[in-house]
Amino acid sequence: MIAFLQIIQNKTSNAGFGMALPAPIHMLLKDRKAYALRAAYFKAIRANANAVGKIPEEALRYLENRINEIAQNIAQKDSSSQLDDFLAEAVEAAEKSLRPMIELATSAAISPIMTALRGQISRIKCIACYHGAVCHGLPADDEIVASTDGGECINEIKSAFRTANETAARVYSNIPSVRIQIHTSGFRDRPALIPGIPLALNGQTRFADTANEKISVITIEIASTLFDEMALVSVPYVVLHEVFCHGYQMANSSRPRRNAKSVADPISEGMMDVLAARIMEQRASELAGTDDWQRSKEEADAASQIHLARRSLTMQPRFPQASTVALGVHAWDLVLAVFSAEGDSLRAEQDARRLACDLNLHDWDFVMRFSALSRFVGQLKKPRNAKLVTELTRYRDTYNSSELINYLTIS
Amino acid sequence: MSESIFVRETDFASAEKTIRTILSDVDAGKYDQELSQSGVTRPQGKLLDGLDLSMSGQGMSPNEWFEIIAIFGPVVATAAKDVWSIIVVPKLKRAFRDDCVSPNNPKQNK
Repeated sequence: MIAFLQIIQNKTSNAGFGMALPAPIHMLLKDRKAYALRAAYFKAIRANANAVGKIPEEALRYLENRINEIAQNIAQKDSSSQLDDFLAEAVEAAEKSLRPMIELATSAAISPIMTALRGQISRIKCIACYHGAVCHGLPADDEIVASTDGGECINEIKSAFRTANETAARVYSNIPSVRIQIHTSGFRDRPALIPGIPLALNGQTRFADTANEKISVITIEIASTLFDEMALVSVPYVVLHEVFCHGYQMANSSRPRRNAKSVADPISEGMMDVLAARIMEQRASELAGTDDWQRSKEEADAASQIHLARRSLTMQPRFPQASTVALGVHAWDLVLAVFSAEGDSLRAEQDARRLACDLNLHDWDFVMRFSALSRFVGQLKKPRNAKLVTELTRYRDTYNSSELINYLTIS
Repeated sequence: MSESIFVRETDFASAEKTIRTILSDVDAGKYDQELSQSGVTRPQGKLLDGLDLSMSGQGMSPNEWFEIIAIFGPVVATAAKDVWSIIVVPKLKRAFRDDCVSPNNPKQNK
């Protein structure tokens, strides 16, 4: 109840412009316990793909069901144990209940999974998280989870956030100053509506700019009791989408950015999202031949799968913003085709990326973004508008987008 | 001063239009009796002046329930909270069905 009240109070004070930003808000302790247990389990499974193949299906299903039950119970009613003790007790309880059910040979086969699971949970030490402070299911927990060194229980999210920020700093050529804050929120049911992918994970970004500072508040929504392997491998992409596509969206605006109303943004949702999925692919290919390749490849595949589902105009049911995403993707394809026509495909990709980032940073509001990109696509379809092609050529020569943006604004 | 509400099975534009109509009626004095029954006096300023309505966020995917955040102008800030709970929320529930309007996200774990 106290945590709930703080969420409301923070939300209320956060929503207006010109107000101090409160500390980040995070999932309740019981949700973090359920999340950390399931994340550790699926990480152990992923790290032992070969061993998994040797375990009788029934035994593995039994273990997974036990983990699910324990996670569901804790998410409904918290225990007094601190998070790391809960994880140790949960793994012990799961193993103990499994023992009478399986033969000696199966026990040996499942042992690498249990060892990996214990290894995963041993990394979380509540006492070492934040100056000896331990979460007790109170509003003060948020400070512990949000601290730079702390929040080991949501490490996958915090690590993905760091990587996404580094990626944004690298890919945007002139990155403006934006304070990006990450929050997490626990859900009972799947928070996303991605067709064909029951994703226990979602991301939302809200602008909380003041007169002097751009602030993007990113909330990663997690159905902790449904968190599975697909959600685990999707974390880097979902966080990257929020930071890279939305965190810096309209950041060159001289005024506080207005939040979305009815119109979605094809630049951030489509054009930039193609880029996010391509960055995931590139990251995986750069890791080819290393121990991290398999993990990175699975993350890139998940990114591609979600990206394709969001942009598909044929899937039923269709993603609610599919036409907007598809418009942005079309713009990306067309600009890449124009730039590639000159021969140097590597430079074409680099310039298309740069242009997408410049357009995303521009201070067009949501309606302007939609109309400018519609115009862009309309005029780049064959026969191409000569004036727009000239503006694109000028952009490649100067990397100055103002003339192009001016043309798209008023043409 | 801001207030928020979660809605589903409608779109932002319809919900926004309904909220603006309700607040316009409050400004016109249509709900003065309901307010006074709760011991609240209609604010001197207009609720619609400086009102900003937006979605709570954008991102990877919309939720089944989406949140609308209403930021009120400074003139009506203190009274807006009462008007929101006494008038706006019940009228929205009537307009969009009781199970499609909620002060909290029913899918969020509390």
